[in-house]
Amino acid sequence: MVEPVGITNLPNQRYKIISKQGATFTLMVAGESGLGKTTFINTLFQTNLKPHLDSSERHNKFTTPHQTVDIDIIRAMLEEKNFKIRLNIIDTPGFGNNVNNHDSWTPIIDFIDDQHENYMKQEQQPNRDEKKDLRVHACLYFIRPTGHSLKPLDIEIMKRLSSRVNLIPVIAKSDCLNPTELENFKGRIRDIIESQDINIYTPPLDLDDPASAEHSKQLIESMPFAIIGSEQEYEISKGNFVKGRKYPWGFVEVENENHCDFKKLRSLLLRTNMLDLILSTNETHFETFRSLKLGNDENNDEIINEQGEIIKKSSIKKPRRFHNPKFKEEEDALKKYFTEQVKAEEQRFRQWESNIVNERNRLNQDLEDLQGKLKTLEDQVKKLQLSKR
Amino acid sequence: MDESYSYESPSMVASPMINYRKDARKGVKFTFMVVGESGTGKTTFVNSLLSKKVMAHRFENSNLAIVDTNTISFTSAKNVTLPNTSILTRNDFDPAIAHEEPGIAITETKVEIIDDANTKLQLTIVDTPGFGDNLNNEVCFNEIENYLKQQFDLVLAEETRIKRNPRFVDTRVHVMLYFISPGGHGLKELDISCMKKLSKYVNIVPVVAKADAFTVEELAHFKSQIKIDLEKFNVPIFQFDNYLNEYDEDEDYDLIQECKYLASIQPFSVISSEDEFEVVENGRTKVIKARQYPWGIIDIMNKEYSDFPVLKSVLLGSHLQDFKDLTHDFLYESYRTDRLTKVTGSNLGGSDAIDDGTTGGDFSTSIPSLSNLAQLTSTTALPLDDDNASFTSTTSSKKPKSMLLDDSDLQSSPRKDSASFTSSTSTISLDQSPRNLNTNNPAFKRLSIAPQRNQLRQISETVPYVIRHERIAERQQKLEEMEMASAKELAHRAAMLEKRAAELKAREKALKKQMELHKEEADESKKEEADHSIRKEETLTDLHSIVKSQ
Repeated sequence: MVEPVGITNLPNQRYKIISKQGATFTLMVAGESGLGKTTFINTLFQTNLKPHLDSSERHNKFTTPHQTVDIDIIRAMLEEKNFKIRLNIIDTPGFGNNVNNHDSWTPIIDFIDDQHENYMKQEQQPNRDEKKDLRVHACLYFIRPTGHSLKPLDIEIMKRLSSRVNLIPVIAKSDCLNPTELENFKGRIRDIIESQDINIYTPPLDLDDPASAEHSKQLIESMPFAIIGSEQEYEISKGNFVKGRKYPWGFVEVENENHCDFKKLRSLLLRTNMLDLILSTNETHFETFRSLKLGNDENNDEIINEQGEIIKKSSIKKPRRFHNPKFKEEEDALKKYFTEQVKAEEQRFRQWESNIVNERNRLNQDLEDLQGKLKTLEDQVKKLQLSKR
Repeated sequence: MDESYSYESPSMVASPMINYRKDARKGVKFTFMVVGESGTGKTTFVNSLLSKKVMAHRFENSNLAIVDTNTISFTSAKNVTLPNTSILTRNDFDPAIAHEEPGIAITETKVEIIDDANTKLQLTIVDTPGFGDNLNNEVCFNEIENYLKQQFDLVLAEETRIKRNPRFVDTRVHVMLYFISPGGHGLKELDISCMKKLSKYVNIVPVVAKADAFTVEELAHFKSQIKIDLEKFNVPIFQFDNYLNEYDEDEDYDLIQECKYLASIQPFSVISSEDEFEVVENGRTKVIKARQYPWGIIDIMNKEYSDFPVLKSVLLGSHLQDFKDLTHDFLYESYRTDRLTKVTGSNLGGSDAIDDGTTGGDFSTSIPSLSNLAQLTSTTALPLDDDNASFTSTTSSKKPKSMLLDDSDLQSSPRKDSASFTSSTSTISLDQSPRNLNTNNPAFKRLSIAPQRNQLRQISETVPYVIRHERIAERQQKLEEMEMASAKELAHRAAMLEKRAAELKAREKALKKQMELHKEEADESKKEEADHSIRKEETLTDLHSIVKSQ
């Protein structure tokens, strides 16, 4: 018997390397506040990754006239059976909380673009062994369970997100919609997604593998996922603890497929399609960004060449919008402080000056007095001398 | 607070206020408004409150011929009404236009319900579809505020009129149910600013919508958060325990307990449903309104987790009259005071002086009202003097001359007022000569009444007009604004089109140039080639010739 060459071991080698290196996964959760984003994160990873917002600090935000959208990043290292995964969770608290929500999506969109750009710059460095990668691999957009349809705000941000990341829409708190309502709601959302050209993430259909193809098909059919989150565990039968929500009228199990799509979503995010999410981010979204970015620069050069005019056409990055009013306030405060300081100093100097002038005048006066005295004395001396003669 | 107090829900008739009203036969009129973000279950709430399908759901194509829903006003988000953005077409679901901001509309639905004791209740339900759906939601509460103000204005105008319209319908909104979306974190900026703004015009009862999204502990937490928020931002909502001191401790013990209980469970958390299910309970089948989930069935009338029955009895029974009285006695009254002081200036001050009996017995004290009216006409909205004159003539057609005189005098020297008044008084006294002549001489008492009456009459003549005028001016302004916005939009679009045209032209030019260039290049290259070949031939021939010559 001939011994095999051993090339079949390549996947095993690869496996070893990968399991040693671990993986990085970045997940973004976006959506209006109060839709259970934090709870969902904690449910998904079965740990208390993200603490809930302290409700007493909530009021501090109101003190500023315009609440801003923040970007919170939570880094965590998860280990399961010796395999490590570096997890970045990006939360966007404050989205959709204002009366006027125009452009409230810009911080989120800017953040995603920034990560792409950062990564691109790092790639262009001569030394690029250690790359910091915060590119968002998947973005869960939480939809309010209204039972009607999507709001214009939802559509606007989903359009923008879908061209940049793997967008996965989810219906939050789906336990307040009954099955028929949920089905109608899902149908409307699907219609909107289709007719508004929102590219949501679809798991690839692997035709060679009927089992996985079937699984993917199921996943696609149940988009957008209706989810329920809970951090509490209840004992439904002896020794059997299940995560769920306990109502006076019943018990909703998070991991029950009849109650919600949580299991499907988890399978999509972690178990079957994580690699695809990471790869597609790199291959599709990052590439589009890169080619757009680089292509833009080339185009600008061409324009200059063709027309023979030296008009720099927005080749410089457009100035980032500092929509955060906090910065403006701080700037104003600093300016005010500065001018006040300057004023105070000036005042002091003026005081000094006037003091000095006064002193000088006084001294002059003294001098004059003394001179006068001297004169009189001299006169007296003269007189005396005269009288002596 | 007595937690153990079990709340007995009275039926609609239980309220003595309704039962013993004289016009019980005619029916009780009641108007309430539901405001809240879309998808918080307002329509379902109304339908299950009245146990019949009153309002159509969004995207529901059903013919509701039984009840009429009128759209009163509509403002689109961009001030430009495009036919397809109109929320009036909300029954059709069109995903292609879902990204457009819906604006806000105010609709009115009239229903009449009759209960067992033959008490008629004429309900008017005001809905605000589109609220909270826009990117910029400021337009929403401005619209609602305008609507509420308008209703007050209508009543005020009617009240001050001499000849009253017997068929005048009071359209004031008595209570507003504000639906708080079940976020779990507390109130949002929109909720707070909206409630604060509207609380001047209407009793607000906040309601936690879709309470079935909360577990018991979460609901308690959310309610307490809302209470904290309401307190922190000073949102004046309807207080059930406000007037408890007026009641007799022993006599109205139950009432006091009831109010305390209501105050303790506020904000009400409701679960509503239109679907009915048959449930077997204690061997008997019972039809209940409920929501069915795979994990259980929710009876919306179950007081353990839903305040729906409590709210229903409060709204349609026990506190119906309270809402009405408070609207009229407190909200409307303060609005009226504000409005009239604004409209008539120190007019009221003058009347107060008369009431105090400090009149000098002189006519001039009552007169400043006129001057104030003149002043007000000169200050209200109209910048042009010509308009001014025409307006004054409309306000009091009887004495246009004196008004004009006042006006001009005011402009020249306000100190001369009294002088000009004599002239105006003379004209007035001509109108009302018999009484005035009488009252000029005799008792001091009468004297003080007469000018008051005069004044009242003047107010009643003027105020409705002024109010109406202001409203018209406001509307005009709004229209102008809209026009401007649409003009802007049009200009913007035209500019865009022009720009595009210019771009296209430029591109065409460039292409042409390129083509020419190509042609020239081609020609040149041809020529060059030709030259080249000729030269080559020449050189060749030269060589040939040289060779030949050699």
